[in-house]
Amino acid sequence: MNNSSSGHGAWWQSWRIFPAVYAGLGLVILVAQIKDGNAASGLVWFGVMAAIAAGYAFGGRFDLIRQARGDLADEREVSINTHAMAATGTVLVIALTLCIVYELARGHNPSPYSPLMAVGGITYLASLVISRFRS
Amino acid sequence: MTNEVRRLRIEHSLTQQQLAEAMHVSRQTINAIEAGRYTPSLPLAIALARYFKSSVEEMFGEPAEQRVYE
Repeated sequence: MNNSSSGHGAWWQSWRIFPAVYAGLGLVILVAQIKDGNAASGLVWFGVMAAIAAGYAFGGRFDLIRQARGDLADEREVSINTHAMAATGTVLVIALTLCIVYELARGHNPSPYSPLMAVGGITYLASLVISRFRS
Repeated sequence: MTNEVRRLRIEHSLTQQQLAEAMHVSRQTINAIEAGRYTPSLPLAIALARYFKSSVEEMFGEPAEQRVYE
């Protein structure tokens, strides 16, 4: 019933991974932008990513932020999170489909939308197979 | 979905927070169950029934005349 990820479990299941990933991405973008001669742009991006990381790290007293970083208190929050992820996936599939149709209508190659759509489709089928096998 | 959780909790002089702590869930979850916005999992429903020395049917069952079997 209690599915909190705040205390126990493997490190990759901890909510602390979220701020670490955002801070890490910010550093990668900063280094890439400096190498490309856009240090100012890199600093802006790093600031944005660091702000998101700080929000995830220190915003745990707000239920929405706590849930968004995967620090789920109980089965109801797990259910809400599952529905939110399903809705996100549905919207992404619709958006990718529209992008592919738009690119095809313009006579262009639908890449990179088509490979992304393929990844989504394969992931969905794999999840179905694994979930059916495990339940 | 109607249930007896609120009535039993008040009968036992418990706050939502106290019941939530006993069930290892959040206060919001107890509130949602009482309001019928969330249907608890079978383990949580059984835990609630055991806590109040009741049965799942008594706590969450619909009145017999409302049941529809297909």
